Amino acid sequence: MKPDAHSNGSEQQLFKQLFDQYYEAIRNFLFYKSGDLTLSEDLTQEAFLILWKKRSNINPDKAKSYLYTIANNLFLNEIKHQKVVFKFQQQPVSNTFKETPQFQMEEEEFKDRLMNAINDLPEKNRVVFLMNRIEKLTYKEIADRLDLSVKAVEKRMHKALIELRKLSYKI
Amino acid sequence: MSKSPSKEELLALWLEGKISEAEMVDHFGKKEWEDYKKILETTATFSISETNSRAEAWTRLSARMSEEETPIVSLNTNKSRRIFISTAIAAAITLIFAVLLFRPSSTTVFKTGSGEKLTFYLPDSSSVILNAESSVSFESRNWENNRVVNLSGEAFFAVEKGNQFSVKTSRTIVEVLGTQFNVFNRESKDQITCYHGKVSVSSISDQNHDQSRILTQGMTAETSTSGSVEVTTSVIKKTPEWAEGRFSFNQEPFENVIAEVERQYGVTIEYPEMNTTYTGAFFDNDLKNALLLVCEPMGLNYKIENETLIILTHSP
Repeated sequence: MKPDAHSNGSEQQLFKQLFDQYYEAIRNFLFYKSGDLTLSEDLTQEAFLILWKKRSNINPDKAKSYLYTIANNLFLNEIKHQKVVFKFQQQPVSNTFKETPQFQMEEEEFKDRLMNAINDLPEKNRVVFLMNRIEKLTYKEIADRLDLSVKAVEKRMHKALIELRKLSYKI
Repeated sequence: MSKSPSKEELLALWLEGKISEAEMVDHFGKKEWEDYKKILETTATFSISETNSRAEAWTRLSARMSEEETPIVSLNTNKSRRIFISTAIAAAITLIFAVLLFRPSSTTVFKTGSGEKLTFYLPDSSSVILNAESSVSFESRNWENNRVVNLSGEAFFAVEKGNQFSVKTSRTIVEVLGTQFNVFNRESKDQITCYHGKVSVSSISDQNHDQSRILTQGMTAETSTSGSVEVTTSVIKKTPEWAEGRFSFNQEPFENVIAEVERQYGVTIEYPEMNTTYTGAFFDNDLKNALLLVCEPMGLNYKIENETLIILTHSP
């Protein structure tokens, strides 16, 4: 009885650590896919719950990439998801003194065009690009999490960037 | 023009910060490079506006995790029934041993009488201020993994970060990770106010926590017997006023105000039936002054019969 209760306690602690480390990452990953924050939060809950249920069959080293796999599967099962419409929160840029109203307007326009361009990227490229740009993950880290080669990550990155330039500058 | 593989590789390397600006300008020309640069700079200003924090998500998740822990035994076939029965017997025997082993119980109780307040610390140094005529009990054994407090009365909690922390009253379950909040559980109602961080409130009758509500700083909730939770926003200070000896009311039914005076001074008050509400405040350090503050606006006079009995009458 007693040792059992103890191992359960540390098991939960380990799980909590994993949760603290990857909760945002998984939610953002789902957000990059779906553009729907509420859906992303709900699916992240499901993903962690599945991991918890299956904890006895999972090698702790594999838990991270397994989480991404579960999240991806849950997303694919969510058949009724609509087309992505991203709404990021925008942080004000701090170079205020040189901003004329004209400049500000152009900036706003460009932001909108870029957001639409991100919208229109192929999902795989978008996810990798945003994982790198917003979460500052290295190619190696992204490759580990998504079970890809570093080469594949590089390819998605430059494809995304070239595509974004075309779309947002209408080249 | 940027279709040549080497350029694409260059882009990928540059995105990882492995190539200098000068090299990029050399390969792509200033205009194209500036386009890329602007895309990256603008992307960097985008962030995700989260609606629920990680702490909230954990509160939700851990509740569901503990539900998963309850084994479901199927009784469909004779075979499984036999297994179930033998398992049940084994479990019962283990339980008996467990009960014997774990005795005496590790339940800790703190209790206050009328006119008393008590500040104490839980095993993880979370602090509790207990108002008059209130009691708190908890299991100090294995506290870190089982932070559950039973409350009757009123208390203010400042919870240290850690595993889920729950307060249970006869009507309500409040769940948090680390925060400061007040729980009021008296005959009249249950009222929870969040002073810092976030708490989740659900009615005791709402077993799946379907109707639970999240409170953030400055929000107050009342649970009802139907299982719903009603939230209002109030302006609040760092700690509840009662912890500093001030009791204020906003359109509170008069009998609730009288009940609080009774608890704070350990007296019984007889008063004419009044179907009105009281707005105002009293202090816990001077009975006469408190009676004046409560009676005056209501058009009442008070008479102190003896140490424990006070009679209120309508002013002539």
